Amino acid sequence: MEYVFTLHWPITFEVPVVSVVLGAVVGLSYALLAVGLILIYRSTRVINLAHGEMGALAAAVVAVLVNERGWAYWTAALVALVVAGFLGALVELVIIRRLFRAPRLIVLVATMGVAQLFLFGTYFLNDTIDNRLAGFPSPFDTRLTLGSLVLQPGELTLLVTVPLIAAALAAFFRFTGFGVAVRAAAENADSARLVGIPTRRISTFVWVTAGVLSAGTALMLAPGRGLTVTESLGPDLLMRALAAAVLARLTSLPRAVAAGLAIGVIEKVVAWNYAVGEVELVLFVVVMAALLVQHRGAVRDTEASAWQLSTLVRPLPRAVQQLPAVRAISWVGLGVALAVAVAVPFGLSNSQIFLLTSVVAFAIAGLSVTVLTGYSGQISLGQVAFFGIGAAVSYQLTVELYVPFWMALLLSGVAGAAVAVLVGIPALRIRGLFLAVSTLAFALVTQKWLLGQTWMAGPGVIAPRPYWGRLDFASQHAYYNLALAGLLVAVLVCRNTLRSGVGRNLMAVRDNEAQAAAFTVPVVRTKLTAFAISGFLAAFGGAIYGHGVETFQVASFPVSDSLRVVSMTIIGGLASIPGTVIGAFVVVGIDRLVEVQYLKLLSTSVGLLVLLLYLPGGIGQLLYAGRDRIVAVLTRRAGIEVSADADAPAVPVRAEP
Amino acid sequence: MSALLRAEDIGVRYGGVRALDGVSIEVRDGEVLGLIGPNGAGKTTLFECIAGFNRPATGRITFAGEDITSATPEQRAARGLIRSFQDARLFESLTVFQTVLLAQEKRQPSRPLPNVFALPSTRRAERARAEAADALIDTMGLGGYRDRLVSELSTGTRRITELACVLALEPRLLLLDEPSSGIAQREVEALGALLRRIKEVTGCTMLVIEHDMPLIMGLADRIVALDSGRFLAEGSPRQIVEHPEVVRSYLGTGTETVHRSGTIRPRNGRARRARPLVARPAARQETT
Amino acid sequence: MPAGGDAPCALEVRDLDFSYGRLQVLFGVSVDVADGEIVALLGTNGAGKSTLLRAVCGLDLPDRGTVRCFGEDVTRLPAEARVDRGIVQVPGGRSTFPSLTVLENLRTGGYRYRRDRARLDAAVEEVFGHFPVLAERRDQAAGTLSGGEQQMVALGRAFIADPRLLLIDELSLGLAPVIVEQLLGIVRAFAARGTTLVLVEQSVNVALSVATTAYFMERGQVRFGGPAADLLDRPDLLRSVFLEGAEQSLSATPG
Repeated sequence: MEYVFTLHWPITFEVPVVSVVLGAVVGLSYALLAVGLILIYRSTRVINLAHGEMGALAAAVVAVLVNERGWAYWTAALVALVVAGFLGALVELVIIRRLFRAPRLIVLVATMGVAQLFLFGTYFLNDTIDNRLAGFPSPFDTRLTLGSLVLQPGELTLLVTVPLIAAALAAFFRFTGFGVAVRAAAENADSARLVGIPTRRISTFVWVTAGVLSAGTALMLAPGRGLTVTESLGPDLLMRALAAAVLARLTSLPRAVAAGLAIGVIEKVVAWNYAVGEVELVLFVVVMAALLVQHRGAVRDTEASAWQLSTLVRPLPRAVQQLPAVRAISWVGLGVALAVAVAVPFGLSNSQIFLLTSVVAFAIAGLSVTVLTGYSGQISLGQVAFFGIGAAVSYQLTVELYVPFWMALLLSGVAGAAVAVLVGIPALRIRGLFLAVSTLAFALVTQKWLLGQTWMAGPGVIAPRPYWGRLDFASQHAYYNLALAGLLVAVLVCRNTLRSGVGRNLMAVRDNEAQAAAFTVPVVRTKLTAFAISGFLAAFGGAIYGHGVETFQVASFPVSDSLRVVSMTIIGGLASIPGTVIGAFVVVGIDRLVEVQYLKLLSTSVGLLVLLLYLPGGIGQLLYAGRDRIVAVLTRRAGIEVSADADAPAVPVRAEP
Repeated sequence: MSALLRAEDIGVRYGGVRALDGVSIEVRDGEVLGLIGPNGAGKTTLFECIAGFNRPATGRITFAGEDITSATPEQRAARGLIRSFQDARLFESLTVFQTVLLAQEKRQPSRPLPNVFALPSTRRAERARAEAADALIDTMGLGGYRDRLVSELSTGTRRITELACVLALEPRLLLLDEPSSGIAQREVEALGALLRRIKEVTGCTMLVIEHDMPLIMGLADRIVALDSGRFLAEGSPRQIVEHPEVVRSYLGTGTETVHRSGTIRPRNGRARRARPLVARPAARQETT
Repeated sequence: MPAGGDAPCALEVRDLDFSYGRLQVLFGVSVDVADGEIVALLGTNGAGKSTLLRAVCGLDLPDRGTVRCFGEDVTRLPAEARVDRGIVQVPGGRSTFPSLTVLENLRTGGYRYRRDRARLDAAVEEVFGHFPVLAERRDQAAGTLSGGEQQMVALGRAFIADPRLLLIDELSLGLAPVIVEQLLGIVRAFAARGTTLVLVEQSVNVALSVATTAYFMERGQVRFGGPAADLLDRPDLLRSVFLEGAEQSLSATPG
């Protein structure tokens, strides 16, 4: 197995057979995960971000049972599969069914919460294992050695089981009555119900199957990756699986297998020739190219509309709005918030103030999501990419080019805007779910490749604090005030945008693109404007963050933070600026304040899920309800008769029709 | 009268289905042209081609002498080719006021950078737009609905809101897609009068798809009938109503399909000669 | 009104109210259909006919009122369970499963008795007898068929589901008359079996060619219910549905 195929033109490129085989093997694991993702997508119309974690938890169960309790491997594996299936059913019954009519973005964020919950479980279980040296248990001990190719037991099982499972599933869906019923229910739930197909039971069945598939994959992957399975099933792996699923258009199982194989092979072969970062770049290009080709032509997707999230804020009637007292509410609110924000650091330690600075910076990133997703309806799961770009660009400008600090901040914002517009161009064709996946891929490639370039953040940089004349921002407190000023700028930018004609255009294009075009609103320009503004904000916040932490490297901007920024905005209420800021405080604050790793996961995940189930409008919903009460009092005092709909909530988050 | 709009040899395919097969029509300046036909005849497809939302495989569209075949919908609207939508869905998160404000974008577009920095010029522009919008709202009698969300209004009121926006968009050619759909019988009569008034006020030309025959008969100067993606007949309302091809495309193939003959007794008591029942053309359904 | 007698009504709807969110679309709708009867449900756009059908077959649950089928209160029963009681609907629009083949589509109709292969196969053959063109295309994906053929698949599927009460929403929508005639063939076969039929139609012609009883709805309320022949004497109701009415109105306007 020493054979190597070598291309000499246009570039020298070696293709060792060993790499191809290993790539195929790992590709099979991607394929299996992709199959689970596709099943859930077809049944529930959402990407299950908890897919990997379900499996990781099951793997942890096996580790505990075998290493700690001395169970036999196969018994433990069986238990783990059952547990995984059970967890899948639980998620479907408790969460997915409840959110049946909710916008798909909310369900996506719910799966994020579920992922964190499972992660908590995994950490918890792993911590009960005293014997760390044992490594993850293996089903058997044989290895296959062919020349320089060594196939581990896990890899051997993958090689054998994945094609079998794929074939079995394909046969199941084609030849059994129940399998055909599952396909029918996925295509047209109403018609399926009308012939007696039990769509709800099928949904549970699909989630159970997905859980079992994920567990199986984890068990096969884990031996090669050590005990800390969690990292190995993190965003990187999920992204590969997602890429395979998306290349299969989220519908075709055989294509998912083929796509998985392709991705695995490309990954290994490119890694042989280049560094790890380049692999991400190549995969990103491949995925984007495939998506753009798939989505040529008119997007008359029901898919896109299912991912739309209308954020309805009922404006106040004119007579009420014109009352000076009512107008004062938002200014008073802003003033109070500002006063509190400025006063708070006076009782805190330096490290706590440092934490607050991070909160402020992330709040600015959250505002970028408010503009892009809340008001323009474009889902981006990659905002922290712009965050990182902002930090890196600001470093380069201040340290390498000696640009004054305030100018560097602004120019970083502009750089973010420019990159965002580039990202936004494919977004004109790719909508909804596929856009979400693309932005996630963009976040990954930014973290793994772009930021690592020497002309960005390289191996890690130190971005110094600025000083203006005698004003020195080296102290945490002083820099916090500067960050607060930045947040104020961001809030004003947001507010101006959303209350102006531009904001109206954004909402119009989001709600009914064709109608907006018929009103002469320039659709393409409007969408790209949303990207530009949101890119500016995220990069601006990133620049502030970069100088705040002073040292940062590629790992400072993980993909999981992008997801966290989205969840922060959902917690805050997509339509609400103050809500987003509070959401930032809640999410980032808890993340950094609570020391114990898994307690923090438990609190954030449970908190997020409870919120999504019972307060879908987020904190903003509460804020608007409060505002409405105050307005009602003021209205009565002014003696104005308003035939308002008393029972209409201020922020009715529109459910899926 | 000269032709304001000319659509020549328009052909559209969806998969294996020919939604439009070499259809040509001409809308003369100042007229009201009605477009009728059974469901699936291609009326809405033709509409969408004219308005720019559908790129025909073959054919050419000329508007006021200019070739607009490759123009975007926004560009066509800017030139005065304004369309309405069947369900008048408009924008579900905007109020009536905000919607009419939006229609002012044609005359006074919002510029991103000045808006983001809340420059004084923006505030002036917004005030001007607000005044114009309020004037329109009063003209159309929508004052009581000004701050209501459009999504909470009845179809009829949404339609009126849409027509208020149409006024703001300064139409030269107004494309109306089943303006009466979803509107109750009594309101339809008022709608006809309203449309005639709009035509007077704006001096525009109209192309109207309709299933409500009384409405279109009273409104149109000329009617074109389509069937199965092809041009079927053209003429004055009276000519069309008596055209055998038109009657048959709604009724079906006379002898094979079931038809009922018998006397129909109108209120004045005179028995009329037996006629096959003519079914109302089936309701709008997108040919996707 | 139907000739009641002792046989339980196939369908008895009483005072049904239904709202989509805060928009009420059905107002106190009451309908009676006797066993074996063929009823046409007519009306203008947005009258609530399809909504009523959805409530009867269980896709949506009403706010108030009751739905009884063959003597049993099914108001709160989900759609899947109503199929067991013999209530089947052919929904409006594209109701086939596009990526499934014609044969697979038809066989889903027999989901409830999918283990009884003999019965399922016989039912499928009977459908092919009514629609030979489907037999030719049995392995083709349903989404690639023409509108008329897809409607054949939908009807065939409902036939295989062996209903006691069949609701058909807009049978003739967008279809050429010659296709409609073929579809009416299977409708008559249903009737011959004794299946109770409720046909929602825009085409008065088509509906009255098979129905004996007619209901006319407007804006969520029932305005007429009785023998189909009586409906023809109500030009005020049918004014919006006839070209005739258009003619009258035309001769009334000056110029």
